[in-house]
Amino acid sequence: MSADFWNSTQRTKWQLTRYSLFENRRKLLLLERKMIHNGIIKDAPGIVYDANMRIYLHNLLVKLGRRLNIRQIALATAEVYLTRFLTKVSLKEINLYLLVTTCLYVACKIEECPQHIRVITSEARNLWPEYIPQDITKVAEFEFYLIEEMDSYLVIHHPYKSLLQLRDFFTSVNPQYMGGGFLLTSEELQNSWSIINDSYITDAHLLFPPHVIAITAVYITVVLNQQNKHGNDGVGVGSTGGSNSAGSQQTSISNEKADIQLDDLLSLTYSLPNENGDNGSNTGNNIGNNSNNGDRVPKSGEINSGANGANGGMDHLVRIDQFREFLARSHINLDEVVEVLQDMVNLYAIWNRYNESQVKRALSFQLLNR
Amino acid sequence: MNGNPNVNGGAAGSLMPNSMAMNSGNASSNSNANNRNHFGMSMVPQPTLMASNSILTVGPYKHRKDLTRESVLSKYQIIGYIAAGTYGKVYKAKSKKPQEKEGDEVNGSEASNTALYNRNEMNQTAGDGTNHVNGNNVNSFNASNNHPGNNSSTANYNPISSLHLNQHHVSHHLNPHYGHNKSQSQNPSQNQPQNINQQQSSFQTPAQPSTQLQAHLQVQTQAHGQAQGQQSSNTANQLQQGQLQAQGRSITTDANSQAQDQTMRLNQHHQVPGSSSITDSNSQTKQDGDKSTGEPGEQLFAIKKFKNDNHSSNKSYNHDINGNEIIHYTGISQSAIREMSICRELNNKNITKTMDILLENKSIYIVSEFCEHDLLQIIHYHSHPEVRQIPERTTKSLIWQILNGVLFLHKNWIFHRDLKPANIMVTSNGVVKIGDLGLARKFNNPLQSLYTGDKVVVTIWYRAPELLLGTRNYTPSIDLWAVGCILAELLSLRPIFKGEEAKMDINNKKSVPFQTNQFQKIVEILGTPTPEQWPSLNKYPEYVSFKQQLPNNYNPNLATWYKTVGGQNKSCLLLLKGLLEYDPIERLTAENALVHPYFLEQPKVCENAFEGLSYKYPKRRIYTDDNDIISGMQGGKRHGFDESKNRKRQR
Repeated sequence: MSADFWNSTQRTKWQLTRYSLFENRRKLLLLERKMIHNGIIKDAPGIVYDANMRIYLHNLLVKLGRRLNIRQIALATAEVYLTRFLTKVSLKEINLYLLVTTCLYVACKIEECPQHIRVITSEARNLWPEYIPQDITKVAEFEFYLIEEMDSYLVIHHPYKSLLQLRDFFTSVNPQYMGGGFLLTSEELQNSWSIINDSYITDAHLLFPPHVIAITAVYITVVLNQQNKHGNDGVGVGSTGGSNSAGSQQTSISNEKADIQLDDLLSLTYSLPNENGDNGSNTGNNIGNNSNNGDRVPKSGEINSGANGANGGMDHLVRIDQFREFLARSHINLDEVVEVLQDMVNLYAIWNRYNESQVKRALSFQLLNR
Repeated sequence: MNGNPNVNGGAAGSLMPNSMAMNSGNASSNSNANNRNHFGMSMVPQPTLMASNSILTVGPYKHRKDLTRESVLSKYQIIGYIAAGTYGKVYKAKSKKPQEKEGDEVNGSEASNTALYNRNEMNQTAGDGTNHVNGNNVNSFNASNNHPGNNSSTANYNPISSLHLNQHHVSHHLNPHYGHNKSQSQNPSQNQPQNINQQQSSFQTPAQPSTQLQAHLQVQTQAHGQAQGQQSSNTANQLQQGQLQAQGRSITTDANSQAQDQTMRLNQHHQVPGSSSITDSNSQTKQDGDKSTGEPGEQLFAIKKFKNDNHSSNKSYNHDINGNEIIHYTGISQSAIREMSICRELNNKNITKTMDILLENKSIYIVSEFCEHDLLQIIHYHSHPEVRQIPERTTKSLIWQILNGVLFLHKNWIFHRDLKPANIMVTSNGVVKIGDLGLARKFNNPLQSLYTGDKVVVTIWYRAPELLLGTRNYTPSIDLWAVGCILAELLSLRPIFKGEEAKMDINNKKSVPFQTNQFQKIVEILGTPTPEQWPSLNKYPEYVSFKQQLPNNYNPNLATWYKTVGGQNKSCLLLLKGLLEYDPIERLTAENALVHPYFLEQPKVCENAFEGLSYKYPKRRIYTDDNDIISGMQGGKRHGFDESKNRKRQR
């Protein structure tokens, strides 16, 4: 049903398990090998559907989406289409640039912000002139295959809605009950939002319901980042970066932000000292940052009830406790949350080593033979 | 060459079978032309290079898919078409295959892919240049039909087989022929009980004498509710359950124990998804009861084919004639894609159920259940040759079911936006099925104003006054206005507000004309709206035109109208008034309308709207002059289909 994830085709038809996903991919590899063996496609070294490739695809989509000023929801839908499609189709038998364009084209229609095919094709051509045929019928044709591959199940439920619901729940609920009194600041909301944006690079959306992803994003923002900030290593990163990015852009995904997240998490997971110049060595700035946040509250009309006050450290621990309390009582499948969390942390770790030119070259060799 | 990928790209897409099979020696004249062109440019006819060019247009993948795709003609036999419109055509069809090759599905992609290459080789050795992809599939499919396991069900007229067929549909939907059906058999899908429920109901209905039938269906709805309730962790579900309870209230029933029984059986279904024997025995008993009616258990389908008017479907086959393609294809229309996506999600008794969606040769086929009647046809039957009123019970049941379907849509954040008698289907068992969701759209969280998407919605006679006043943002209440118009039409047998549509200015498509005549018809019966009655009246964009064009004041006249059309029931008039309320905020919602006193008094609403009728409505007219569902898509290459078409015509 379209208002209801639990009866939606996303859950009944398109929610996979790790095992079935693995099986799909294994079969796909076999198929790929067969096709190469039969000379139907050529082998293209370096074209592997790994995290590196997926970050690249994500960036392609975001780039095209930004050029067209496409709303986040449509972008997210396109990302899900992309992952779904690539569970059934080998990278080596298609043109990924055309796929990205087509996914976005279909997603825009489904999310009721249609872009004319001509506009979308020409923008894609501006970005990747050598890969996108001028002939719009190529996108139109591919559209059919894309929809067919998804069995015409096109309505997607996203974690963004769950995130907003969570926020509303936190604000509305009685403090005595379910960890109430815990509030999500708008900065944290923005941060969680960005984490959800990034989650589309992983398989999470094929495997888990949206609310699990949303809660994971909140968890990363509230617990991990804060732990990081007030942790023993004392490297304060999240706050500075977070407020900067939250101030700059509300709805778009930015790589810089991802980097910040990534650094946060890396320093968290590996307890490495952070060397990012942007953030400075603000070990002593922690309190300062927090009071900064406190100052911002009344101005921007946030619902932050002074939790970020001067004695930030203690309050954060209290907040984390409140959030944990909520998690514990929420009946949310925590195993799934942990899985998503794992995926996200892995993603950010890999993102740190992301090598764009390598993928670019491989694709150029695959598609243009040069 | 790289700078100009289109030269090859222009044809490579659909010519992939040829351009890829360089070692196969099958080449039509087209591919020769193409190859020449290709080689002339690159000068190095290496296989790898060719692959790399076609890959820009996703050639290898398309080729693989085209070879394994099952044609709509291999799945369904077209009986004739039942309606044609600007969108395309709706065909009546029956299933060709009693049972699909389930083995293949279980094996998943690996099996089908191996098959692909075997078949591929076959083609090549046969050297059959004109061998058509679809024709090919038909053959291979027929072969698989002879599989010994399927023998029991090949006879179409055996009712049991039709149930097989039905079950197949469930399994088909549950396992979208891919590896992940494993996951689904582990976690049986939640909508399985619903599916089964619906099927059982569709098979039981003819078997039961009318009174039993009513109880029976109620049991099912309740079971349905319970099955849903079990997994409801979610508001929409609860709402729906609430709706079902409302249903229980309005139609008295005490069949709870039976309902539980049913649910238990359904659970049994649930827990043993793989075991077909249980399912079979279960359904066989159902089927046995069915036999008594003598109704052939054959399931019929309506296949809606979207017209692909503006595109160059033939281009790959005749582009060597034109040389260059001038026809512009702009992708699947917003309307088609809405209908596809929405139909796929919805599952309700009073909404046309979509069985399957096929995409073939750039055409979209939406396969849904076939309904023998629609309201337009029923109204026509009662008004020709002489006017005979539709019995109150029938009217009431029809409207209630329509409201029930509309409520379901609204609960799912969808508005229909084109409710009218022609779009309200009724099965031969008197069950309303709201159809044609081509204008329907989701309205939660719209990214742009509703007006931006579609300037004009709803057929003129059924268009709500706020739409006529040019509102930019409207609510689901527009659907309720349309339901009010439909109710009036059922009572009077002609459209209540039969205005003339002011045509849009061809030179200025951006401005939408004010529908003076239509509004005139409305005020003549409902009276001129006053600001007291409709506080936001003067806020609408077309308020000025409304004031200018309709300066005369009319008094509310609905009661008189109601009397003249022979209406006597007070609460029916009240319901009508509530639905035809000017102010969209004051208008009845589907939810409130369903529990309107009108539905609570005698005669009671029936699940079978035709219950107690002494006559039968005529069956839908089938046009057989054009059975060619594929036509226009194949260009010169449809020898195989011409044959089958001729056969059908002779029949």
